[in-house]
Amino acid sequence: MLTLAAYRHYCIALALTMLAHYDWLPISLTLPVIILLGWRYMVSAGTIEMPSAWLKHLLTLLVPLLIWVTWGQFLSLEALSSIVLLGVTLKFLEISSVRDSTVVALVIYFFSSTVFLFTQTIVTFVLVLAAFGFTTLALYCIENPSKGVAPNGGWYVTKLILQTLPIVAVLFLVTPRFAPLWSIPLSSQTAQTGMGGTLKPGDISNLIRSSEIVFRAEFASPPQRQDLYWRALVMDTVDNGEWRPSQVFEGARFIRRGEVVSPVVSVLVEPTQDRWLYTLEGLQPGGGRFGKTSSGIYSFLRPPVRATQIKFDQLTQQPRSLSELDIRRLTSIDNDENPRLRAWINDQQAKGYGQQALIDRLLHRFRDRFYYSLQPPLLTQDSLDQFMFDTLTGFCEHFAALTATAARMANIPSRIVTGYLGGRPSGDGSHWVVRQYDAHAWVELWYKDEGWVRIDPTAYVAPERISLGLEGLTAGQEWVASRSAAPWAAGWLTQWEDLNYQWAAWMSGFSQSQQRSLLTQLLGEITPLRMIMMVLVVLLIPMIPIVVYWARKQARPFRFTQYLIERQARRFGIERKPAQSLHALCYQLAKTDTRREQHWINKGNQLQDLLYKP
Amino acid sequence: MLRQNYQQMVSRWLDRRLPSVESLILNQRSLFIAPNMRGLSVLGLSLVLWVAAITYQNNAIMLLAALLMALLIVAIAHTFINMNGIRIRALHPDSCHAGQAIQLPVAISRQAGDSYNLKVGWRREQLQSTMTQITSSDQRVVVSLPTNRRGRLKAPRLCVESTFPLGLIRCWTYAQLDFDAVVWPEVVPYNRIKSSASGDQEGLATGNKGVDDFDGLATYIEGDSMARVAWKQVAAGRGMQTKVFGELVGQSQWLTLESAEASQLELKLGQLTAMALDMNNKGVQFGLRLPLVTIDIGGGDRHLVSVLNALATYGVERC
Repeated sequence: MLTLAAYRHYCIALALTMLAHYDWLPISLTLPVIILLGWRYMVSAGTIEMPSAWLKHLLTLLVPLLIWVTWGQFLSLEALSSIVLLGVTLKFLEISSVRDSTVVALVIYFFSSTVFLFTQTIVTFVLVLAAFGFTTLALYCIENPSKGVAPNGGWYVTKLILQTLPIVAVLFLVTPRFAPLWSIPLSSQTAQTGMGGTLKPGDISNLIRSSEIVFRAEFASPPQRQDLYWRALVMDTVDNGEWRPSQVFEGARFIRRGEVVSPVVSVLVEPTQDRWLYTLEGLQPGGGRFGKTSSGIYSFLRPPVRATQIKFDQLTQQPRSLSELDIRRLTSIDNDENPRLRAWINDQQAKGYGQQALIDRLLHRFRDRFYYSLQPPLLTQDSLDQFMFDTLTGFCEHFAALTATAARMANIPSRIVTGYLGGRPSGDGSHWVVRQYDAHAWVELWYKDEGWVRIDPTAYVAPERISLGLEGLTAGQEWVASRSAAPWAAGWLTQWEDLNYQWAAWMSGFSQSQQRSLLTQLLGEITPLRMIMMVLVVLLIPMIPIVVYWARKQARPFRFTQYLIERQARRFGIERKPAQSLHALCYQLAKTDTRREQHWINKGNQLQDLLYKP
Repeated sequence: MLRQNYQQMVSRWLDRRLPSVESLILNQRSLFIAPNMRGLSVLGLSLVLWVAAITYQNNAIMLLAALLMALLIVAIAHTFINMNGIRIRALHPDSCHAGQAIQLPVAISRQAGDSYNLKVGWRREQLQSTMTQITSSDQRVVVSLPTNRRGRLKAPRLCVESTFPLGLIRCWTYAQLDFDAVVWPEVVPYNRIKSSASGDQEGLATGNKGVDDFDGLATYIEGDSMARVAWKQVAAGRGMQTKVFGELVGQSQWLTLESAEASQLELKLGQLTAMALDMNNKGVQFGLRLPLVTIDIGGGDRHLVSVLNALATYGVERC
């Protein structure tokens, strides 16, 4: 039966797990669970009766209904986890045997492990570990129902779990890791807000204000901030003023590359629903299968629903030159839009400015007349005309779109690249953190002799946006202030985020190859013999205290003393006779070893006292 | 057939490993340990999590699976330590008649450290008593065993087990305890004691009168057996009086196999048992003469016990 103590620990474990599931668990599920748990608590405390059979059936029937109302389906990860949660809660209402109450423990263990399908931060890990402890404690309380007889459960279970740690380490290290047996699509509602898939100047993006971390990057050699143009999407098609990539995943080639041995940079991507990869120019990802478009967008085959580490090295292929068709495609533009801009271009061309000179003119114009603002006026009809000649205020997307459009009007193949700019070094400087507000858009132009050339028009308007980042530019603004309320808090925050990074990098990075290299480091080389030796050594270490404890409890008293005395006696030619007491032996020794007569007499008396004195 | 063979094999192996003893200190030789159903389901869950961890390439779940597995491994050590060093001792039980359940007392203690949650019984399915704590002082637990045949008792192996601390691992022993007990023959009713042809009765007095013949009442004298006080008379307000029986009071009788009317040996022994009990009740002195066994005329409880033991063990070694 379920004792009150055991039930209480189960409830705590469930509460901790629900807290870890906080991100997606809606109140429509938590509330019924809390009510049912409270109900059962009052039953255990003896205040009210167990629910009747028909009521239990009714509740059971309500579960699928609640799931359907909440999620609209049964097969998503969230829905399945909810079924487990509600199931274990209802199970409490009908526990009648020790077996039943153990089943509950299994379900809670399972439910808490599902947390890691959604998130794997330190906090959730600690919560799940605590839930694990409390569930184990509940098992202990079920096994030891009478209070005050067995050792204190909390202390005992803590000891138990501490003793498991070396074994956990070994198991974790040596358990074989395979490629997934089958692939399971994970649809998670906790989609992170990501960079938009299209670009249209005039839509103010919320994204730029978010300080959420997008990815973190570790470099082989420290980089210059100005070089960190993280490319995500290449938008080479424009339609009604909206830029978008012509190919993203459809039409992408699949590339398969082995593990990168010495990466130039390794990127830890936070979980997201987007499939594109963040890469620096001239680098390519390794260690898996990726999609790659002709415009150089790399993508995951599946959205990274957990933190994923990707390593990059230098691209070995030479960029191919553009075909006539490409050039025509990359210079196509709606002819009837933005007439004032077209007129200006024509005017400049008439004045004799060549392709490059024309772009320079435009950029100088940005520097001299334009303003950088995160809250630009909304643009409506012929938005670029409005921006170019009336509002003169915008941010990166506006400048990029204007530059790319102008280039196309001047018959220069152009495309907009979106991604992130820079980032910020972490507190300890080991890696760079790139947040949503680092999102950026710039332009690439194709010059026949130079190939693709990167041009960042925003740099002409707000150079500090490039060198300091958005945070530097807008320091003092409200949303930045909220992130770093006080300097000391900011320090802690950075350290905490660093810790989270180390954790996530380790958690997601420990793969089959990582395992092999760590084992090689530990063992020199991986042979079955050495593996077995390691397992034995580490599994034997926790056995040592057990054996010592055991030996201490079991050993006959003075066995060692007895051995020593017998050895001394043998030295003097005295063999201990059967049934001769140690006391007698010592006295006999005293007679022979006259030099230490008193010593032996004392010893004999001492032993006699210790052994037989009541 | 195969099953029987297997059981025989196991039992022979157990006999070699754990021979019959009067007292036993549990150690790695006498203890068996294995996960029970609950432990196996935890093991199963750990494997499920492991597969899930591989499928989702999820190291955190892999850690949790390892933690569950390690918990089981550590629990094995804890469960073993809990049982190790326990001393089980057979105490002297009271005898009983075949067909009754004999109550067998066992003393359990542990020299060093405490043990918790011991269950004691004959077989795993029939664990009778739970002891929450074992300390260095003896704790008595009585297990009851139904008997069906007379003779010197050979108890089945006693199962002592514990699943402390988490209920996932079961550690047990099958102790063959040597209880010094005799199961007396079943009491079979009889009509009369046949006098044997050889005239074994000594001191016959009034001829054929049965032992139950009631002779009359006498005034109660202090020291008279309570069993013979005429309580009806007391209740009727006529004071304490003692029932006086017929001729055999103060006399003695030999019991032999021929004294019983039944034809089968077992029934004869049962009737003799009943006669011995009756005579002891009435204070008649009696002796037993069986082929190879003779117990002289005598009286009192000890005499009765030796007669009953002789009847119980007649012709059998152990039951």
